[in-house]
Amino acid sequence: MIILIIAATLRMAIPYILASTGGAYSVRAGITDLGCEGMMIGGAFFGVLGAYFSGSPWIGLLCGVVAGMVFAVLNGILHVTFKVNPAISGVCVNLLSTALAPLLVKLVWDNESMSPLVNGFTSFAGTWLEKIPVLGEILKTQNILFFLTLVIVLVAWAFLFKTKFGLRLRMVGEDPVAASTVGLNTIRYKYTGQLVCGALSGLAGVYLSLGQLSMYTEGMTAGRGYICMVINVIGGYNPLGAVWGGCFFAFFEALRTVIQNASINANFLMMIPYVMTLIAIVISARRVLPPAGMGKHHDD
Amino acid sequence: MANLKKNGKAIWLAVKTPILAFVLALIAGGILIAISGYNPFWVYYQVFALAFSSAKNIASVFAQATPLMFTGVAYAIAAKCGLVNLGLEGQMLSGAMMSALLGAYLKGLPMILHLPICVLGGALAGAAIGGLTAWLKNRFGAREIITTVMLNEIIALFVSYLCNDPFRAEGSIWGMTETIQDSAVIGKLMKNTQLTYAIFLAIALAILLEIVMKRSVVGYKMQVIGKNLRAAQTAGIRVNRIFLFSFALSGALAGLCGASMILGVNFKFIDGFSDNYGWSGISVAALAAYDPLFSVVSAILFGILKAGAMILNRTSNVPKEFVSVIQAFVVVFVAAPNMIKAICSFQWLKKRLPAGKKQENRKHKEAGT
Repeated sequence: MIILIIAATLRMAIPYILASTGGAYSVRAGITDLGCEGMMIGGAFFGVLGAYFSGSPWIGLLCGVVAGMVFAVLNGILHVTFKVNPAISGVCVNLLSTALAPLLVKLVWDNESMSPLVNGFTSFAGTWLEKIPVLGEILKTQNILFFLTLVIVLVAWAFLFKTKFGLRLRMVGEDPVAASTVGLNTIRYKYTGQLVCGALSGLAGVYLSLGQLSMYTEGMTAGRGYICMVINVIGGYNPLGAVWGGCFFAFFEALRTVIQNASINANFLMMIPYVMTLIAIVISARRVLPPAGMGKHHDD
Repeated sequence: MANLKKNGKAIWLAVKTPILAFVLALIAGGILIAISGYNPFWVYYQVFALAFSSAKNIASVFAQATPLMFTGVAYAIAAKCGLVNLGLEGQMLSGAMMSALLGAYLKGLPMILHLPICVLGGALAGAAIGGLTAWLKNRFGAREIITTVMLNEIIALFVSYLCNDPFRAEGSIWGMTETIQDSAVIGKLMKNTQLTYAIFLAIALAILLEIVMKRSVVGYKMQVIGKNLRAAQTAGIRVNRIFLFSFALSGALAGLCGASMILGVNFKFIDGFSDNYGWSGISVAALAAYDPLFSVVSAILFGILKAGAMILNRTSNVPKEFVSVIQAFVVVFVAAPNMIKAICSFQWLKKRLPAGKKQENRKHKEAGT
């Protein structure tokens, strides 16, 4: 039972972790990560589309990541180049991708809400990994993206906090005017942050569609992108914080699937993490601050 | 005469961006339609022609526009003082649930009492959620973008729990509440359509709020805060109070949207009934440049597209999902007036410098006259 819950938690946590890590890059570069939801939907849909036409989940993954990046560039064009309020530009991305996906589902597969089954990523069940004692029980429901996520998070963390580039990216987020004064191209850094955000959110979407169901269904992201924004707030805009935050939300989601026929209502159970984080955010609002240069540009 | 000319120019400057944005959105949508193998001109002609082809279809245009009016005005009111109310969806759901419960379980009241109670209950439920957001912002400094999104999720789960578990109608397969009493039903304006008297409430409120925004002290303060928060604080405006007022008002309007859908159209709370009314409100308000009265106009415009596409979808296989894409494009273009300028001036074809100078000259000229 406990192993079952741990396995489910890790499975559910991956999309949160990936998208929150991307969101952290966006916020650290000074742009609100409201668009994650839209990029995730883009990744989930175009991942399936790519896999549908090519037959290979890896091509699908590539398509999903690129789709996420395209939506991120849209966010960048609106906010960085044309100086739209970051909340509105994020909403634009979300509105556009939530509108496009059902339209394309209709056009490509002539279906109201879902795609046919495609070749997704297969789980480790039946491989040698399953035979490892205890860990095998957990690993057999995962797939290759699980290890990919672990690598990505560590690399993303090291890149953001241990390299010159990461330092500069964070500086652009803290004070774009100062960053521009010392000669940094703030626009390029902001776009880079956006692109990382789009790529990782797209990958999160791919994990949801190709990694779990092997198909796209409407509303499959179920507001996870918004939760990632919240995870970033409680995780301090740090990829490692995203791991804990992601696991927290995923744990309750796992409980919901594991305890299906209990007396407690699933929706009610799912409210608990939200209420808890809302309280946490409210209490810490004046202590855990986002980068000081959020939504600012180098020339204003 | 000169005055008229000047006014005309001012009006044109005000409506230029939204009109250009709408046209650009139609073009962008048209390209999509063309790619997917339909003739965009034919589709647009059909959408607009079908929307006005019969009295019933016109009624359905206004029926589609009614909820958008409420949420559009709701978003506009908050946006006027610089607040981003992303919680419309949650406020709308809470208003809908409250009016559904009051409508179903408050028995034995005459209609003249029952209906207003249900409508007010919906408004108050929305206002409570909106007010809570503002309070969290004022008291704890929690950013409203985050709290509204959180509250959306919490409320969506909570109302889903309510209509699935404690208040589930007996014998229903899908989660829904009991049907409301006859005394709580908003009357139909036209038989066999979804058009109800709620539309008059929406328009009246929009007019009222337009007057409040333009002619009252509160409205003036809201505009000052929206234009420059620091200046407003320095001038001694109690910003927190205005935030609370504006957010609660915005929430109340969103709650009314939910109430109008429950009491006029659905007659019960059905799980997942919302057709993204809350999020669409953002498009509506953006197209109206965050003006309450123009929000009504832009809601009707979206109503035409929505109803026309739905009718077209019945007779041909053109998917009605095009409308939401166009709606999204509208926000994209409206939000970035500079982008429209960049696209329409064709400056990206020419050199940059002279244009900047020309614009500056024009600014001086305008300031001079």
